[in-house]
Amino acid sequence: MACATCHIPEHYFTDGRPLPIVATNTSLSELPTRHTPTVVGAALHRWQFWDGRAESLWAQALGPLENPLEHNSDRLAIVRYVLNEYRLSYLQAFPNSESTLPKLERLPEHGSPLSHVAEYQTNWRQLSGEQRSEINHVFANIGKALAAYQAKILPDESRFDRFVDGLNLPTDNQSLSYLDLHEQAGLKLFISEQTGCIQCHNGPLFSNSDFQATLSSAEIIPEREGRVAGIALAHADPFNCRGIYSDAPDSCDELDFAKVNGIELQAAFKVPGLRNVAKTAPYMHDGGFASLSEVLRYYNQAPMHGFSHNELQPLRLQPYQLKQLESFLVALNSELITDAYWLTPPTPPSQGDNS
Amino acid sequence: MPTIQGALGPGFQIVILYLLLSNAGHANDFSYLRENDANGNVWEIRLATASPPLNQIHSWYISAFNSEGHPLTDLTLSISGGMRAHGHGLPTTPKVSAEISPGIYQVDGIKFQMWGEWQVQSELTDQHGNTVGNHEFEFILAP
Ligand code: HEC
Ligand code: HEC
Repeated sequence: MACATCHIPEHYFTDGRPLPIVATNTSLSELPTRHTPTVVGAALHRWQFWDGRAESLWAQALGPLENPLEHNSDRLAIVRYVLNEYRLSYLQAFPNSESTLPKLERLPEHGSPLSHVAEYQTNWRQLSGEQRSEINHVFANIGKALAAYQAKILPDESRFDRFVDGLNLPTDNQSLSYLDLHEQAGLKLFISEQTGCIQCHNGPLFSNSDFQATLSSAEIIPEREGRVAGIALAHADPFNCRGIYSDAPDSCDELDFAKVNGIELQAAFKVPGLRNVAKTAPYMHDGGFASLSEVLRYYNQAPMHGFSHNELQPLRLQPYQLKQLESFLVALNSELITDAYWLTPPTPPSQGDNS
Repeated sequence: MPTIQGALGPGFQIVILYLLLSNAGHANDFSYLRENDANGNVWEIRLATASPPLNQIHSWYISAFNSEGHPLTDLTLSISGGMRAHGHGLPTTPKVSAEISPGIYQVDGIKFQMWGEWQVQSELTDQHGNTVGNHEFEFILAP
């Protein structure tokens, strides 16, 4: 399994499925419950995952590698793989790290504190503190390399952006033609007080990167899911901003000041960005809505699921207005700004690799 | 109540500009506020930016004076806030880091993640926990 098994470039780096496929070698009977979000623009988000349990892109990348439902690997095997196959590139990317590299020949094949394989956990416990830290350093650096790559995957200008640029450039007399009247009406609705969309969908990605309870799913336990769980995990993560593997342990405002309790955190999920949203059906943290029109129909009615906290009010728009909103969302489509070089998979260094 | 321009309707050209650049400076000034509370104390807020930024953690400097103009000093300031209309609090837990000079308290970690009407309550208590003064600032954050 590769990152691109789920974050498929042709699907704007999503998988087009409500919930992702499961690693074939997993021994877990548990099934995934979260829909695959895009990684385009993820570098601009302050928190990663639907519940924000990682507060950097590099810490995020370490999750799937050891997740039994995803890559289902373990950090010692991953570190071993990278240092065996890519040692030179690794040392170029992280100079001066040679003296602190783990001595692989003295280490077991597998090991991780998080593995669900008891033997791998035991292996990990039997390592010395120094060995663990050497392995964790390389593991964290692999996350940083993955993050550096993902930071290159960004959306290009959409017609909406050209429209806005045009309005601000008096010399551009065709600015209004970038959006047709239908889309302009949708834009007006989108920024109106009546819909309140920009309350949450604001900023360059159309996301405030915060966590909001919109309760589109009745299948969750609000006291235990969403941001309320995510922030506790982020604080406990040894790879967080304050941890010893962080490059900037002194500027961790988001982590330091994040709210850790309060009813607003229950069942609250990260506000997804809306650029190219027309390409990433199905929608929401559980992939519960098949199309944009279903999403908008939900916002129009905003049913309560009996939880005490829902931030949405029913919009009560007319069907033609919902269509206008939808056509505006489609006008946020664009290509990627990313050079084709970064979108072509490299040839694997050797056969028989399953990471 | 200071209004940082509320209208979203006709002025939508400006709004969409700020949709893209919503972390940029704002046209409306709110780097300083001065209000009286019900007990005659005077409260002031100072910001390092031209107005509270959207989606960015920043600091407030809050000071309070009694009716004779003496700073309310050596007290404990506590801060809370939110959007009453939406039933939610601040997205962060701000912390009072210091009384940087007599009666001026530095509050770090303030963030607003939505446009709209916000309330921020500040309360000063003495070492016995008795309230010496409290005040609610209310303002509209708009593009
Ligand atoms: C089996 C499918 C699968 C694989 C493989 C996978 N992901 Fe994901 N990815 C997901 C799902 C599902 C989520 C959301 C999980 C959650 O929020 O709980 C996610 C979330 C993310 C996010 C967070 C985006 C956001 O806006 O919150 C990033 C970034 C990401 N993945 C990058 C990666 C990278 C890098 C890899 C390879 C190391 C990878 N993913 C492998 C399915 C996958
Ligand atoms: C109170 C904050 C809030 C408001 C207001 C809001 N949204 Fe959302 N939006 C969210 C959150 C949070 C999610 C993800 C919810 C989940 O996964 O359960 C979301 C999801 C979406 C999605 C699905 C995106 C995806 O990739 O899954 C679309 C489309 C969307 N919103 C459009 C809109 C539109 C259009 C409006 C105005 C009518 C609007 N939103 C108003 C917070 C908000």
